[in-house]
Amino acid sequence: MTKPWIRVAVALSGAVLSGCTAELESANSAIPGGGASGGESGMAPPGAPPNTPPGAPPSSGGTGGAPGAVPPAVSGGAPSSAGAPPSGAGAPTTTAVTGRVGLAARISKVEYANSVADVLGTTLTAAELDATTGGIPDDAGDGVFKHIADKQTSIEQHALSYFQVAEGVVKRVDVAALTKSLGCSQATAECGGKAIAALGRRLYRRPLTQRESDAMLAVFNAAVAEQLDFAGAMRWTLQALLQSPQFLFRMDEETRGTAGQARDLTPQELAARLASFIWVSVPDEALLARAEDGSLTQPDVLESEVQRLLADPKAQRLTRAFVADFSRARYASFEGVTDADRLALDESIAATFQDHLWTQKGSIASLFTTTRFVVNPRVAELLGMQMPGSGLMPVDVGQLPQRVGLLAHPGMIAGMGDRGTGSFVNRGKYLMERLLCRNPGAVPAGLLTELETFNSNTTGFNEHERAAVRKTRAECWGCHTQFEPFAFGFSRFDGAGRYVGEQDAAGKPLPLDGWVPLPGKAEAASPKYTDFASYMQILADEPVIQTCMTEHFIAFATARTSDDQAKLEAERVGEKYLAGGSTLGAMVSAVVQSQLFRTIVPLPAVSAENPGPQP
Amino acid sequence: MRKILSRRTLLHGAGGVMIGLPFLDEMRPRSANAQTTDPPMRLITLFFGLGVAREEMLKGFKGPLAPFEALQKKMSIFTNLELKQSHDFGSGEPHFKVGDVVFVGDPQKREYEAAGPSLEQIVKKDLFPNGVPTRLGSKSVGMWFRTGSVSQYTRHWNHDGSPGERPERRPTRIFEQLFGGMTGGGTPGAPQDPGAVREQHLKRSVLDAVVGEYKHYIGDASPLGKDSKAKLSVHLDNIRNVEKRLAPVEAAVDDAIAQEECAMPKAVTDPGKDLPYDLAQGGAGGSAPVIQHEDFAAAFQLQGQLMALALRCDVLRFGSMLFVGSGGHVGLRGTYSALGDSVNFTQDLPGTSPHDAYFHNNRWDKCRLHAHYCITNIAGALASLDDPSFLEANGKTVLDNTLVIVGTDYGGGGTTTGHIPEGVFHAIAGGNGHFKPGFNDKVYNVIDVYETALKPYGLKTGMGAGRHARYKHAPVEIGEVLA
Repeated sequence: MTKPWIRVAVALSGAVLSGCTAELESANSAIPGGGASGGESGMAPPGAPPNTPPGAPPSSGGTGGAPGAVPPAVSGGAPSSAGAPPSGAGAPTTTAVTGRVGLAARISKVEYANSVADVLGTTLTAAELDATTGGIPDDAGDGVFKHIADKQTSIEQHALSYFQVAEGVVKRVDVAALTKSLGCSQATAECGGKAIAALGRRLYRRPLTQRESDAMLAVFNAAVAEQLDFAGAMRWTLQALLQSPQFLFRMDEETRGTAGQARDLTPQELAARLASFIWVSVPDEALLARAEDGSLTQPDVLESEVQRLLADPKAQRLTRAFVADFSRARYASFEGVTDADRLALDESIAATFQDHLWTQKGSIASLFTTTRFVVNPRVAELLGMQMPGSGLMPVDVGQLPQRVGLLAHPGMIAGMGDRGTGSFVNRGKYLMERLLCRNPGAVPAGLLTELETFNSNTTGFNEHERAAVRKTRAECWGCHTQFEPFAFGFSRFDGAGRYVGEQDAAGKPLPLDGWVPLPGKAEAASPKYTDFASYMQILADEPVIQTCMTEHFIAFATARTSDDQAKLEAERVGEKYLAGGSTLGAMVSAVVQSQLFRTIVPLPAVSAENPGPQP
Repeated sequence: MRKILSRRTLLHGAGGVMIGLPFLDEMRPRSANAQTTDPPMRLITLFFGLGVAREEMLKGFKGPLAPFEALQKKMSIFTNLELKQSHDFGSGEPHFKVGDVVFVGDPQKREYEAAGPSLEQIVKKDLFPNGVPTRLGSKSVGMWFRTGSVSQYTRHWNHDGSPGERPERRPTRIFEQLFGGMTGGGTPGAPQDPGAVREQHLKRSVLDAVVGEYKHYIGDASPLGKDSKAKLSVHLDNIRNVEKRLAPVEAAVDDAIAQEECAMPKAVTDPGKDLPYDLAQGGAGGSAPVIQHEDFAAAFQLQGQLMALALRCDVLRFGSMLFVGSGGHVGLRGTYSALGDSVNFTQDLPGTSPHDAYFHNNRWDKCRLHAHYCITNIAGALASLDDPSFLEANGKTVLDNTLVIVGTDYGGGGTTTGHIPEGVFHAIAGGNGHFKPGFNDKVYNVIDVYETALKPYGLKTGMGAGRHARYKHAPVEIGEVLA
């Protein structure tokens, strides 16, 4: 990427959004289940807020929506505050990055598994990772990434699975090997205390306090009282450590410092955040040492640690976890899909993403134009290629029709969640979230019955024909114009990401031309494309889209809902990323240096006497 | 009067899983107060796949619904419901889309993600926002063998739209999960296994330590703000529910009432020697596992009896049961005879399933018998709940005192394939006398049925305002089914 990073955050902020869209991840939470319901349900009136009450008329905030018109700018379309982070997503547009208040973030299932592997040297079984077989539940909720603290809910199966998984994990732990360096393996409080201090420090991401150590020692002593030896007693103690909030949640000292005035994270908090971002795990001994001697908050030490973490193979977990949520390949639902297909798609899209960023050292922008895919036999089959052998293999797909960029990988297209030919509405919303960091919100209740009529009147239409009808209806197109054109260029891919040719099954043409619906630009003024390659080149060159990609990295790193501050921060991070050489390392380094990553805004202490604001 | 269902139906002798009767604190209050208390609110959903053609339903008890005849005084049967919301998620596999709509009401947000909680989860949280007072919060059981999509077999959806428990198939495991505590235990009346006692003690110790840490972080000494404390507090509530499953195994059951009401079988044996209860993968397309239809049915009936026992013992108040997943893929074998006709599954389903062989080929003559097979088993599960040999304190059966909502995916019939979101079957059974029995062939959306079913129970939130406005037809009119 060579273009200067232009200021785009203001253009993306809530103040100038059309009312039918919302900032990424901050909409859809006021109405239970009010998220994007997909399909043809994205139809909304121009200017209607995303959470229009049932039966309420469309907002009077806008009157536009004529074909090709610029969606009206309204100020009433700010995201709902329900479910929004305390930092104020949904608040009026900000002009400065002031930092955010803290929020406990439950570690994702992947982070749990990585942490167990790194500290205890054992891996989780498939059943332990599968919620439907009693394993740890997936994080759910709207938005691209699923480990976002603001969106997490806790269900009984979380607690139950943490209990049962810990029970299984400790049986596989080699306690003797883990505690060998302690030189103390007697079933005594002294040896138990040493082991708790050593292993607890890793799992809690900081040294244990005396209170915490005593609490765990009580478990150890109870096991010893039951005649268990050191290893047996430690296994029970590890079960407690693995279920403690200090391990399962990344928690900052939210009330430390002067309320309302941003402070730097403590070295321990910074180490925890750093390891979670880059390794999707807990800090190692070296990082903990930098935290404990206090040097981690020095810029040169911090940067040195970032580079050390990036140089470790564990850093590939960052890209692995990032692209798993970004693509959603594991949720493919095309005709005849099997679990093996989903695994193959997920594996290949991850390998392609990682190969581009790590091996080829490609830029984030050039992800949109790469023709180098890393494929396995199933993905090769979907691409229409012959692939000798098994396993993963890099291939140049440039000679295949329309195979340009990561978005043309079957793992991305299948991740859009279509069964057959693919819905423009589904695909448009999926792409809008990923390329503009915005969410069109739910269809207003006032239009729901009309949608029934629309659906029955367009039975047998292909997606182009359905889009053409919507385009003639202002109440549809006012919003759909902001996301549906993203999908036009994908019309020759079916739900599995196969290229189907220039006509559909009925012989109707599948035109490719379209435009990139940038905020605030009418169709006539929008960047046009006539083929897939030129479409992808626009995405690679467009600063608004590249800034959104940066915003995704900030959201991923901080595990927080994106908001106006993140949009502003994305500009700064983007500039540093460019200056740093447009590599993944430059992006990670720039994110770590950002204020949203390094600071926290203290909250007033909450106690029984001072319960804070009541709901 | 209180004939012990479990001893009559579940004792299969040696070879079964031996499980001791756990000491259930949760049982005692109801047993002790059996003469004075009303039954608790309970809700079970019962699903069967592939539905019933509307023309067949209109035959009343002369068609596939015949097995319900014995329960007709306890069922409100709907024969013309709409399920249009299952088609709202754009292009998608119809059975993938319907699975997280039935008993939820709104279109799925995406595959693997429902729009909100299923009915039993709604009621559970509404009545017990801080955790249910029973050993288990809820339980899902069922017989299904297609693993291609969570939506096809999961009927428990959480409030965040994520799938809940996958229906457990193996009856012996269900028995352990319902009654065996976290690890099982000794046999009633027998000396306790020292190892099991020690394990229970240490588990308790672990949870005590964990609970202590959560309490610290939500207490006054916590460095957290209000929102983080609230988040941890919810998690702590869930840990409390886990704690309930750690009730220690009692050396001997000495509470006469509890023993009489909840007498455990000493052993349970899984029906069907070769039934693939533990199948992890497969079932898509034509790879349906081959199962003798009698074995498939027997396993489900045993599941139903165990669930009835759990409700009776008050170790459970909310749950879901499933007989054949949505778009059910089971390679049934054997000949099934009913309605003066018979269907030869063995001959018809080589390498395929009723869904592919019958539904996709518009073989409604076969579909009606498959529907009869499903209804027979659903009726069997209801009959287990309705066992007159066990009456609760108010003189009613468990079914009488439980809200049961029976549902299916598609209706179909006539000359088209069966993915028609109209003319769909549902029923309300039991329901504490709140509902008028009989048939209702008016057009409603399933939402109307769900809201009507919950209406008499005075829930604080119920289905939630606004979520389902789009699909409602006549919630006032459907109120006619209220007694």
